[in-house]
Amino acid sequence: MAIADGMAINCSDLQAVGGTRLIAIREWVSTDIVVFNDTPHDITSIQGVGPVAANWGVFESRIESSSLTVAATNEGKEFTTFESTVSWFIPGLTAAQFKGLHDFEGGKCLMVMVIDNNDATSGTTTPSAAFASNKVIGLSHTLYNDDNAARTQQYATLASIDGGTGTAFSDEIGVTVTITCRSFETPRNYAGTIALDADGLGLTTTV
Amino acid sequence: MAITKGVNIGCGDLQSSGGIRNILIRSCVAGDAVTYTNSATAHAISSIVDTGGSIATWHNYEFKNEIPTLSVAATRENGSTAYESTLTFMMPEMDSAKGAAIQALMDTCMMAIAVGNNGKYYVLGLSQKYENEGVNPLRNQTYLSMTSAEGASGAGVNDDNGWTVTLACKQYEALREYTGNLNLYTASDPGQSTTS
Repeated sequence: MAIADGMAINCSDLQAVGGTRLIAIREWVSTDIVVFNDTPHDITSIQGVGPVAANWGVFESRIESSSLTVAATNEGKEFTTFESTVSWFIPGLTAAQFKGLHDFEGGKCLMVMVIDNNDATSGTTTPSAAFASNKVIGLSHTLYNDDNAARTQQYATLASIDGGTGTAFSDEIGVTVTITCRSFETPRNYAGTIALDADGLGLTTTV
Repeated sequence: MAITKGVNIGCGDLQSSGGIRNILIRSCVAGDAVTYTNSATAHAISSIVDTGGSIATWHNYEFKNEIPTLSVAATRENGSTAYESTLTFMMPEMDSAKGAAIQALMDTCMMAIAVGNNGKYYVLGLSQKYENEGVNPLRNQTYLSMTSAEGASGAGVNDDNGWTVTLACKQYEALREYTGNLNLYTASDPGQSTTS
């Protein structure tokens, strides 16, 4: 694809806020309906077979402890490798939290949506009802090996759970969860509809 | 948010008195409902009620006069501005009751209203910015907590004996004024106040 335009940096870009707002995770199902749009480089549909809305679990973290990092390397080939890492800290070390983590252990193939804090207009305080400022990992459309989104083998998987009780009373008790994926394109934006559940612990994606 | 209005300073503003008149504290409780008011001329909270939906009960922490202070320090890094708010007050005479009061401030996520001598009600521990889901005012993790308590007997007979307590919170918006109903020292319990 030829480079036709450069890139502007506006005042609003300079006000961009770091950190993540929500981390949503779901397990891949081979019949998932995923539609990529390569022109804007986004995803227009993540749905279950039917089609029905795809359900995601929303994982909260300690404030200012979660991040998405992307590291791309190119070794002179015609493709670039992107290693994406999502990590967040869960304070508490409770049985309920372990159960929640256990649900995506075991080599499960995951997709992760990271929604950041940049949907709200700078200066406003009301939480945005939009979730447009998001990035999806575990879904990609470059070097896929079949015309089926689930066949790319570029899933996100649990990479580590590190943490513990600490030793001193003032130490942090909890775990840092890390999920990674290797793909051959930058993470895409989900351009479909995202609806947060009433209790804030789940969301659904539709077209 | 674009700048759409400036600020006038009137004679009344210039007469504004310093210092804190009352300090009210309560624990954040699941089911609390908070109504925020946002406009070009208001950055406030108009209602704080508990799960019953009619009032929220606050506990009055009295102090030695002209010692408590509320201070706010805002710093900006990249696109985010963090506000560190600190409320400090001194409870004279270290005794069992004061010790119990301090014990109650530990291990709990709090909100506080500091009533200024200018008659304004300042809220700490409640903020809307980066409320990460917009479904529960307590999910934004910008609570107020006790960051220090210093007890001192003094050395001289004229020295103060008491506890100096510091409560602090880190938020991402300016401190809000409470504009709803506040009933100080309700008759049913002289140690309590209510908001509605």
